[in-house]
Amino acid sequence: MMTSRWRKILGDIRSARGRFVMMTVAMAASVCAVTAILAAYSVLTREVSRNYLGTNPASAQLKLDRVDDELVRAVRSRPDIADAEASSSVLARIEVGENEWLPVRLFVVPDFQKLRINAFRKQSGAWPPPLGTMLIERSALSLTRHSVGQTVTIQTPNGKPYRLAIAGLVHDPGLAPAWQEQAVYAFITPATLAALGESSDLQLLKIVVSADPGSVKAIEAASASLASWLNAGGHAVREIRIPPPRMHPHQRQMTAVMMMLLIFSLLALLLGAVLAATVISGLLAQQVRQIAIMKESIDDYGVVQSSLARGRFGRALGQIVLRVRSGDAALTLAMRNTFRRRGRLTFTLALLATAGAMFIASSNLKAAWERNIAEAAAGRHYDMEIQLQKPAPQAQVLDLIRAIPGVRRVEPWSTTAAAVDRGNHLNISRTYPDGGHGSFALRSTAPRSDFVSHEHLEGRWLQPGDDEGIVLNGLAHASLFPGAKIGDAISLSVGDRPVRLRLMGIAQEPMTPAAGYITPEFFAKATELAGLVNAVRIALTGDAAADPVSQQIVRALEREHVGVKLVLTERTFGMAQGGHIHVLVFALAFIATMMAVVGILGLASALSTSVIERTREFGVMRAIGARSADVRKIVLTEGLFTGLLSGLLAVPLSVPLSMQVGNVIGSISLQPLSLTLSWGAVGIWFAIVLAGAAAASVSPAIRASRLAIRQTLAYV
Amino acid sequence: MQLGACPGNGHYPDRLLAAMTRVREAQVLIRLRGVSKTYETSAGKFAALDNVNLDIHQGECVAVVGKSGSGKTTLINVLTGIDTPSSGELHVAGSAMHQLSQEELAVFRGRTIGVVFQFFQLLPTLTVMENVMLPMDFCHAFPAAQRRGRALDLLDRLGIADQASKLPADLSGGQQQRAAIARALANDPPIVVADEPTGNLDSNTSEDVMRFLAALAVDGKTVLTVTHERDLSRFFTRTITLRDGAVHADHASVAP
Repeated sequence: MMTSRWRKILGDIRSARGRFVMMTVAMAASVCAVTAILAAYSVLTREVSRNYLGTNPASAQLKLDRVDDELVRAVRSRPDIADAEASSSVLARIEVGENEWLPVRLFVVPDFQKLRINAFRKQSGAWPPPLGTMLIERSALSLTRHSVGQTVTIQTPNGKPYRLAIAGLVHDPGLAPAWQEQAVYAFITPATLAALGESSDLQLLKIVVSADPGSVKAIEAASASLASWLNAGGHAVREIRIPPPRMHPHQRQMTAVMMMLLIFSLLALLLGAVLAATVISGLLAQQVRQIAIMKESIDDYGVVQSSLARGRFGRALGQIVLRVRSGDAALTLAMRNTFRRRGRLTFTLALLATAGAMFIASSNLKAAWERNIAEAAAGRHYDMEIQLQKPAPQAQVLDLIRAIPGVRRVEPWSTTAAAVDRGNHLNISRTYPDGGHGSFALRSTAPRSDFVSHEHLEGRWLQPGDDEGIVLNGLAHASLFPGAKIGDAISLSVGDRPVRLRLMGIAQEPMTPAAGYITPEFFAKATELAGLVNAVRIALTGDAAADPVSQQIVRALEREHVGVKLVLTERTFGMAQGGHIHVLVFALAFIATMMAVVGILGLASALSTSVIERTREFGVMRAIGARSADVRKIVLTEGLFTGLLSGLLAVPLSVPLSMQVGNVIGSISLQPLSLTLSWGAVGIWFAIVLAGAAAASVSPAIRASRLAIRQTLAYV
Repeated sequence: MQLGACPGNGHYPDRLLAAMTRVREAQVLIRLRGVSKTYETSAGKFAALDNVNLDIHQGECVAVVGKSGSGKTTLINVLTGIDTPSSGELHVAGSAMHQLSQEELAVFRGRTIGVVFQFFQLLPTLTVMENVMLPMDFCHAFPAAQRRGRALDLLDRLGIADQASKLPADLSGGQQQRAAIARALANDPPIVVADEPTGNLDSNTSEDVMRFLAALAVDGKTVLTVTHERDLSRFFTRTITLRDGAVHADHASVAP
């Protein structure tokens, strides 16, 4: 037999089932969000990390002229080396459409049956790939616009276009998603590489150090020791690549996104709790009289007295609220009712304003990322960059390109990989196996060139005569030379030569890999490429389209046996950069939607409570002549006014929130996110909150207008 | 007239007596024919009103009395359109109220009937002045530009003009009831219905309030008041006694 207490509790829940449902939905939404985020966080940190570590990532990769089995065995026998494996990696290009090429990183694997370091897993197809075929990383298949079994054209730096069949798919957890990089990853045998026109000799020595493989210092020490030993043994070490140990190439980005999601989802949970408190508070307010009856202490019934004039603060607030008026007493009533229950108003405004602030902040962050991309694009005053397979005579290349219709101007912008010189004459870079992440490029830049215009965080751009000067971009400064000041010496290793430069400026070049800019004269001296060029930047005439012109240029160069490695147009820049923020944008949209839902549910709950609590007042209003429409108008106005107030609070609240979250993400991702107020988001939030407030008010308003007067006047 | 200006200590002024005389010749403002109101309860049907027939004339000051549960409040609710009769006909100021929809009733009530509650029921977030303006805003009985002035006039008539900008919570019970009467008069309704208007007031204030209501009847309004207080019977021209939902007695309070 159910006790009367339980019957009352169940009755109370039944009588407020709408609000209980809303509260439950909001709590469920926020808990669901937190759970999803925590699950994602767990997956992306633990699983990605585990998957990445499961590949047995190389502590370092040493580039030599040739790595054979005997050498590998000898290296493995060293006590400071846990494992070693030979490999090769070639950056080629793949034709994904007619005369449409994308870069492809060819990973050359000597033995697919005994993958030891940077291991990947078979997904489908032949294993190992037969001669003349390749395996494609599964995230890259869509980029190739081909399917397994089809053939595509590949061209390596020294080879002619060659048709390779896609033999199957693999999954390499150590690589960044191909669609984010706009680059294809393929895996081939040395024999297939030879068929492509390259030497089948393996040039990379991948190692895993024995002691403390998570420490950069330990890896550097072991690599340096190994390099000295190799050099002494006649194996010249051209380059040492030591990527951040045990860290996926996109670990920083993922951590940044997950951190942001975690912050917002915890706030969402807090909002859910606030909503629950609002509902409970409303139920308690409604039951004050019932509680009093149970205590046998009630002595009055009537319209609930206002809290406007209760207490010192209440009186002060009351004086302010009394100034809220319109020509219509009914509207005045609606607006002042908003302030009637300070506690509930505080809850509701906190809920909605925080939701609004989070909505706006999430859009602000998105806008900041987009602004970074836009600024990066605005700093580029050329239409495409073409990188050559091998250095070619500069005059010839420039003349060939100038002759193409649609080309307005062409400039040499040669590039070479460089690394921080650590004083041991070793060329140690932070480059990942994909050759892109963690890389640092040194670019030859004519000081008077107007192809780029970057804002400077410090210092200035190159000027004529800055022969030993260098301008670093933001990422290069933050990741490779943190703390370096204008005028400081910058020591680099280019090839196997040490180079000393003086820091002239730090250019804000967002969303761009680490790079340093030096004069053509110094570039020629450092690289011994005088009179040669390996990359050019091209500006087109206003009516020329990039893709057809680039195809003509590539054909013209190839006719003269100048191989093209890469064509980067604004479209490919945009796709690569957009791909990196795709996840972020999706996450922010998810957060914003969740926030809006929780906030609107909170308002609906508060209004619903308010209507129930003021049932008797509505009866009085009806008794003195109010029509249903008048009652509806009052409740709707109250909801809209609350929504408007919350919006006005949300805008200033979003500013510190955006700055804080931006700082956290900026510091993690090494991409500074300056405060960008998205007025569009402000407008959208006002539209959402007002539409939501109206929607949230409809049901309480209709309920209020349908209350039978006799029952409302008798309402306890 | 200023509340309290009308003497009423045991005898009626000449003006009131004259008004009572005029009542018999005045038009019937409220007419009930066979009005019954039945509620469904868990114990079965309950007749709150049982075949009530009444004619109430313009200018009458009517007391509705009876024991608790006799049907007083139900009668008032039916007269004001707050509740609808289960059967019978109800004509108020020429309108067949039993045929009006809830929306029509709201408009009709706002313009025709001023309601005064026992516990004042002023809206706490509006000032006294705004409370009085509220019915005018609902019913648009007066142009917007005149409403504030009219509200102030009414408050002045009730002697609380100096309280106009205060919130109800800052007023005494008597002042709140005067404000509630001013609100009931806002649309200048021909009928004023008061449900135990003095039930929550001290005796002096009760006298003042009743004197004012009686004076309204003298000025031509029809006043119906539910009351328990026999001491105030001298203010009424007619007393209707209900018992078990039916009219048990209906007599003039004093000879005209």
